Amino acid sequence: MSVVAARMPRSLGRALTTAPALLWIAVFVLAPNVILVLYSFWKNQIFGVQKTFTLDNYSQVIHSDTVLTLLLRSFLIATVAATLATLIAFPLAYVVVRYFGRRKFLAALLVIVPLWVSFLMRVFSWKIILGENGILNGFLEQTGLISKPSGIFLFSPWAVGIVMTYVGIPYVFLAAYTLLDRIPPSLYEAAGDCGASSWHTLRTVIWPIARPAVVVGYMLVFVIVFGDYVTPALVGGFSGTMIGSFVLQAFGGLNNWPYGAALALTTVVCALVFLGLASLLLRKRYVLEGETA
Amino acid sequence: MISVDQASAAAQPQGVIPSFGERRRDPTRWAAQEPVRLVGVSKVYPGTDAPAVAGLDLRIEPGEFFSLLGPSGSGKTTTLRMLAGFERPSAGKVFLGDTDITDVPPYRRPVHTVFQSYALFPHMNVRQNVGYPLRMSGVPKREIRTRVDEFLERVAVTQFVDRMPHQLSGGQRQRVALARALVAKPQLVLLDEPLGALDLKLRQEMQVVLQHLQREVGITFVYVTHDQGEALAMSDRIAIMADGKVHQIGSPQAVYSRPETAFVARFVGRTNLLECERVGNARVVSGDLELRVGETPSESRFFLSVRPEALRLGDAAVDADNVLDGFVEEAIYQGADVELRIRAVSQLLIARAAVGRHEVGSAVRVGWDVADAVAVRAEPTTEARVG
Repeated sequence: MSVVAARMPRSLGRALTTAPALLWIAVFVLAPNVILVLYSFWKNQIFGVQKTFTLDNYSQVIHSDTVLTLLLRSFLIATVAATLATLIAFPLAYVVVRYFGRRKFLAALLVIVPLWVSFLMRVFSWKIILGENGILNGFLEQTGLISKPSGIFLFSPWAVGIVMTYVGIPYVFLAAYTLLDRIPPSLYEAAGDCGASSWHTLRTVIWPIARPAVVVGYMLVFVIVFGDYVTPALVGGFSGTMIGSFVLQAFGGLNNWPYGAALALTTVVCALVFLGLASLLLRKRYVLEGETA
Repeated sequence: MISVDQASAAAQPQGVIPSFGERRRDPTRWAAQEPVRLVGVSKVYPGTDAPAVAGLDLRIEPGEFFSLLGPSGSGKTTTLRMLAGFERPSAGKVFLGDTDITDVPPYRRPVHTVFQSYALFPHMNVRQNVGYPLRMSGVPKREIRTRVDEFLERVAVTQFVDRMPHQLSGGQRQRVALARALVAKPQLVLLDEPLGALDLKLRQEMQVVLQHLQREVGITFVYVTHDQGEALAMSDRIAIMADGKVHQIGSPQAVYSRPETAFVARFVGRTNLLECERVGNARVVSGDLELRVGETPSESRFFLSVRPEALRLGDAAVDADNVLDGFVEEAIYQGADVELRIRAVSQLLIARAAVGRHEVGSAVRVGWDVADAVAVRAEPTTEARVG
């Protein structure tokens, strides 16, 4: 500790060290959201807003069938994508940690590599795969399963689901891998020793320990998908439009910021309700070796 | 006791042998204990040249407290892991009774382990941890409860049943791990340096607990340790291992008072080892000294092991078979007595003496009787050391 710091009263020192973080939160997290909340209660008018209190924006959101449809679709796509990503990534992480020995780090790196590529690029590359002149159609034509290229793969909620599953895999993998890697090998042996087959070991010992981490990965993917507007725009088509796209439209094309704000906040609340329910699965009652209680 | 040929002959199935799947299904009853045998077992880990275990022949009797004692790298833990089924022998076979269990996976062996790190399931409380083996073998819930209670009582942790492992002290975790290993009444319990992480007082307490428990339940224990004191205190028999080979198997008294190799003499207790060469009938030279010896091995070169407490000092040494003149080079106070380092001609001898009897630098006569010195081989003989 420096001389200056040592002379300062402890409370002042603590205030000074936490100030930058608090400032950051205030400016970049709190302020935008407060502004968003304010806008959602203001009146829209041409070329700006009228700062008078109104609940019209929310009433418009709540009574819109379009919003309901889009919210439900977004929710469906997000849960499906997060579930599929988890179903793929968790077993993958398990196999990598258990059976790749010293090469497990390399294997993990290969799974995570896509995260280094721009999100836009990753989504766009699926157009090449799913498109009418794409790889999938080419393959199916070659094998004679279809006679002419089909347009059904691209521009559908399914396309969004598939692409978002792909996008979500590295996140769940990362969460699961980090935790699985910390489970001491003696726990696997102890389970086997107690009469548990590999399957029972996974079900009764490894999964309960890994679950909180996997749920975190799941929630991360859910959040990314639920509010996304890039993927629907690129591969969703009209039937693949999601709530994010609509929010974007309200702020952009419609130039109705108060409505957009109400829409955005409704979306956030819906997501939070789901995350709140999911976080019930997050409860962790154990401490792994090397952790402090 | 049993040669390799006899062992494999006995291994031939006679009549119908129940599979381990069936045998495990009734873990509520004490199965009759059966001997455990390792026949010509070797283990070479991939990527290494030297075998971790080299041609091991071992027979562990039912209900025995058997210790594998050796320094790290001696192959004792590898041997244990092959008994548990975590490692597959590179050669040789493992038998439980007449059944070859070499290729039986751990979860189908009636063998349970107490791990060095305890390896309690962190997400289960004490009751769930201890009940886990019973749950895995499909014992009804109500019965699990009474059985778990019974065993928690045996290891005296009844007041912690609802705690999680991280809320327990090291000694308590140890007891829970022990209860978990015993609750399904296995044929064999393996203990991998279970007391290594405990402090001295707790370790001594647990030694007594372990010993009593083993006598009570009558299950065969195989105990791995590098602590010779632990092995001497608890075991019915000890196998002393070094470099993947068994040097000697015997009762604690036998391995201490009649070591067969220089390694055993040095590893079990403290001793003076004198390198000797035979010069005549019952006469050897060791460095500049000519000594009288009793029974000797057939080799012309061997070691003489004399325990510090067998050395007689001063007037008591006068009528001993071998008498040397020396002086006290160092005296290390040890509470009850003093350990003396005595320089006698070219030899440095360790002796025990009463406190205050001998000053550093003073001359002292050292002697011992032929009967108190044991001639030991430099290396274990190649003929099978089957206990």
